[in-house]
Amino acid sequence: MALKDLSVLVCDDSMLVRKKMKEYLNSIEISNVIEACDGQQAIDMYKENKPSVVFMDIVMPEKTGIQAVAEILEFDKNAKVVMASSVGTQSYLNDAINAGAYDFIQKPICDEYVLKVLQKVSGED
Amino acid sequence: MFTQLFGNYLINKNIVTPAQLSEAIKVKNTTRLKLGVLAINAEYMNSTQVEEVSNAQMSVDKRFGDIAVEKGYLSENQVDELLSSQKKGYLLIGQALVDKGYITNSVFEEAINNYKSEYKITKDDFIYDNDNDVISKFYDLKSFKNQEYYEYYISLLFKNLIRFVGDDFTPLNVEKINGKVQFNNAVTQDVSGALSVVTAVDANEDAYTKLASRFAKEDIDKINDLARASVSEFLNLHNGLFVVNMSNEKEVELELSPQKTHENSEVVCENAVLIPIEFVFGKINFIIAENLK
Repeated sequence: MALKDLSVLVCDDSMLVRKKMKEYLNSIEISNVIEACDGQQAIDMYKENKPSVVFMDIVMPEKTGIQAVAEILEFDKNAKVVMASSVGTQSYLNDAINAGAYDFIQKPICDEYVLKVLQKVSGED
Repeated sequence: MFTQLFGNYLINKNIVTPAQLSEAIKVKNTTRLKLGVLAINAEYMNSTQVEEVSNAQMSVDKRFGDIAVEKGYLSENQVDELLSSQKKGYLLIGQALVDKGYITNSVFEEAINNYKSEYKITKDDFIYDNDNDVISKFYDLKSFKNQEYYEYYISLLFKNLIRFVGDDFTPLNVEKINGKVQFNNAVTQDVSGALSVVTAVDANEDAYTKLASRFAKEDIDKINDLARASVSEFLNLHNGLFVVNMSNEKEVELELSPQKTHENSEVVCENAVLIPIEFVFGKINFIIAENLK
């Protein structure tokens, strides 16, 4: 699938992070971007929209990113959920991998790394 | 970080006023380093020699370096070395203070030499084996059971402020608090695990807005959702990098909770350390407390 045809779900409780992420995705011609601000909302939106890739924060109210990844993977074992979080500690990383995360981006989120992940996803689809 | 701590030192020793320092920080990026200040810093010349060469410059149309070489104070090689040396932030502040007439060359000489020797900073460069050691010399946190964590936290905070907000600040002296604190506009985040503390950032409306605007790289002129999201994300990012470093370097696993925002509310802090940061645009207070209600 071409990069610009990917659909992306950005889940972060910070509207600043969502705004920056959306601006970057739009700048590389990805226009199909939806946003969620907590883990539960991300699960609901995933089920409804089945995006090609999800960028998921970890520390969030309602439901953490780790719980959300596990539930999304339960629904769709091929889901590609990339953790994008400030807490890339050994134990959070382990939890994310065990929950089935596709990749991990340590904040501050760097555009080049986002692009690399998206290229990987678009190459596989 | 040494630039910021040098500012703290100058204020503590009453060498300059906070307002004078703030003026110098504002112009430091457009300040041109002169050979005199560089030679004093390298200890190639003392301030008397620098004054003598400066005075001689007024009567003859020659460059500072040429006169200093003629008088035997500097070699040609030293002049080249000084001119090609790196622009260091603390020197720019010193130069700006001298240019503005707030301090003389001799006051600068004494301050820079005392600063380096008091904090055992090597002569050639402000490189230190362990940044936390510098923090422990500046800030006496011995009365806190989490002293080592706090020193690491504060050292990283200065670096993250420089990296994500700007280098134009001076860390003022820390205060110990046990009791009520009035929050203006604050964000708090809990850290749990082997270190269980509440972290906070608080500022008045103006400073909060400017901090938010700089971190977000967006025009923000009042406290709105974007401003709160920005300050919250700065605290989350800094705390995140702190817990990542603790995990990687000290094998200590910590967790973070979602941030909370507070406006005009009174809280009670237990065994807290307040770290006031004087930016050129206003004061930002950071707090680490064993408990905060």
